Amino acid sequence: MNRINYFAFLVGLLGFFMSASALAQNFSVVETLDNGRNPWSMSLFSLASIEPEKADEGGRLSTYNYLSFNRRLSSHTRFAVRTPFIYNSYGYDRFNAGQVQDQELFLQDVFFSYTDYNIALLPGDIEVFWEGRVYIPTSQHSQDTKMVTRLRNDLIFSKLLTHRVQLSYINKFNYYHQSRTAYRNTFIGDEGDEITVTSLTKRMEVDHWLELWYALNPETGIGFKVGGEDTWWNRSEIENKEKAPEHLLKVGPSFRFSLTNSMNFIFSVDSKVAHISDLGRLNPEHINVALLSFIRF
Amino acid sequence: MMRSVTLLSLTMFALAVATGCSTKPKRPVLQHPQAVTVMTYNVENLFDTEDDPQIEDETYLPQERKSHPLIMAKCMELRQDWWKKECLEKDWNQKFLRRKMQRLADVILQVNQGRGPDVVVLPEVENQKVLDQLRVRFLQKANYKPAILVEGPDSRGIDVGILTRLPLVGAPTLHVVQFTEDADLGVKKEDIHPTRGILEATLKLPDGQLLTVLGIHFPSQGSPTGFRQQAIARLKEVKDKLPKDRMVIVGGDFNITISEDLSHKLYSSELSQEFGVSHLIGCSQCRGTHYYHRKRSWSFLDALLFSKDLLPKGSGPWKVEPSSIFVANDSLYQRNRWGSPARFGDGRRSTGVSDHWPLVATIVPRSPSVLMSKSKEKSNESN
Repeated sequence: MNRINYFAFLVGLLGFFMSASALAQNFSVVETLDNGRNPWSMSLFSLASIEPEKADEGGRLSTYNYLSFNRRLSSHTRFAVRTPFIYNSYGYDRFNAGQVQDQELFLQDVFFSYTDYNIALLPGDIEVFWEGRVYIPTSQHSQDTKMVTRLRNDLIFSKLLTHRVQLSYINKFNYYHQSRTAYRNTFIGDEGDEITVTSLTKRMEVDHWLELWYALNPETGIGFKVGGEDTWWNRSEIENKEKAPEHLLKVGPSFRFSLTNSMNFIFSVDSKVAHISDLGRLNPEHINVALLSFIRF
Repeated sequence: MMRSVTLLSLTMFALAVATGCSTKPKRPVLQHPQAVTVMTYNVENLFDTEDDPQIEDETYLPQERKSHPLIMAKCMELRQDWWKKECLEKDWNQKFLRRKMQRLADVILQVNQGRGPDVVVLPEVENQKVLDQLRVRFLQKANYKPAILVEGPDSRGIDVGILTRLPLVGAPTLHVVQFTEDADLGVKKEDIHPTRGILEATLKLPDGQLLTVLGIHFPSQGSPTGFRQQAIARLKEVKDKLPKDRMVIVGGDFNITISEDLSHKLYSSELSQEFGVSHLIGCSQCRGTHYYHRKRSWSFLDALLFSKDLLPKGSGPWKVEPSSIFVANDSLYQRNRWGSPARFGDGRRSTGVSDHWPLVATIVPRSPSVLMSKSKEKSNESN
């Protein structure tokens, strides 16, 4: 399925699920709480990304999506069960030695989420959003690595600087509770042959950034982010293997817009590099273009 | 490709900033040494955290008190489901009350270089005690005298209060608004409930002249137009009993929507016969003081009315400056993301204070030469 067909598929899926939508709360960089009469709701999240240097040359469209079944518990809290799935189109990507890959659709780890949209209001009118997630190892990768569970903690601190300008600090922390420190990892090598190596399992990840948003009007805004992604791996005594933590810096602009009260989108371009000196070079292999979609039913 | 995307992003950002800077409306600036600023501001349910058995204030109590069977029973008696739910779930404790008052103060003090208006009419206040808490703890910069409020018979328990720096002359009076059954106006006996009275307070202006302020809060749009028509008639009665040369300003929440005014001409005809209406004599760039989301419409639910002698063509010793009339909405707490009034709600968000925006106007002494020529005109006419 090529990129055009993917979007057609997504629109079709939305049309199938969409019914009368309740009014949404304020526009935000995250999903917002639906305070309609019905405490039960569904929503769809999609993160679609592409490597820009291959966009016009058969580059692969990769999407991470989940369908969320939500129960509002109070005016500011919600519990949800989410079933994520990945769809990747046919094409090239940076992984697997740049070989052409078939399209694929597969389940990721199902997770439970508890969200408090206003867990605190700090001095200086700083809003605090919190979400906790518990992942179940339903994906093939989690089963291959024998992961027990993953715990995720999201915090967002936001402050309105003027009527139009908002500053946010976002922190997403993942902890992997693994049953083993290493696993057998199979992939396609440069020659097109199948290679199996021993890889280390992840221990933790932190994705965090500072973002400034400017509201052009109630439906659209532009932003700019600066942050980092850090990953730590387990050390395997048995395999005598360890891997240095990876620290990436990222910067880039974003554009947010909403089509209706129930459909919000964020388009972003991120440059992720290991060295600060590479930040301004805008090398294509460091760039990711992504579209985040939040749709409430 | 990436350089293009970056350039486009930066260009959009620059355009956005330029657009944002240029669309901010200019606030009228009136420089006069004796100017008196008047504001009307519906503060949306300013209740204390204590239970008053005489009124329906159970919604505004701390969560830990709501498990009491008597309180729960009173919540269950409320007429509408959403109100029942709010009554049972809302946590109204000292923390949220302080936050509400701090935000109200931020709104009130945004005028007059941070000193607030000289007179502010405040509908939807539970009692004098909570209004004085606001005055003493959060409005010190305004230096207001003790709050003026006379409790009325409204079953919701809300009243109109006044805060002012001007001296009070005599005691304030509450004029009860009594509705009478009238089939033509759609006022049915079973719909008649006690409501907010008209608060009368006479103040002394800096030059010794007297100004009577009438604070009102008419029945909501939940009641037929006939109720507001009868309330207007009562307002006129109260005003007519005042001395003929008394300058009068009426402030408050009239609950008259734009569509109701178009069909029944409550502002444009009934009230305009005896008063100058703030948004009809000025504030031409203003959209309104309240936004009704369901109908996507702005209305001037709140207004300031000026007796005829206060109007520019009037003969009173003071006059209102039409160019000074504006809707004050610069506080960060006041706007939601759609740019309309942000309710306080559960008080957990960084914005939200009231579902109304205040309306402000300034009156100034009429110049002596103008006063003299008007006085000559009057004596010529009588000759």
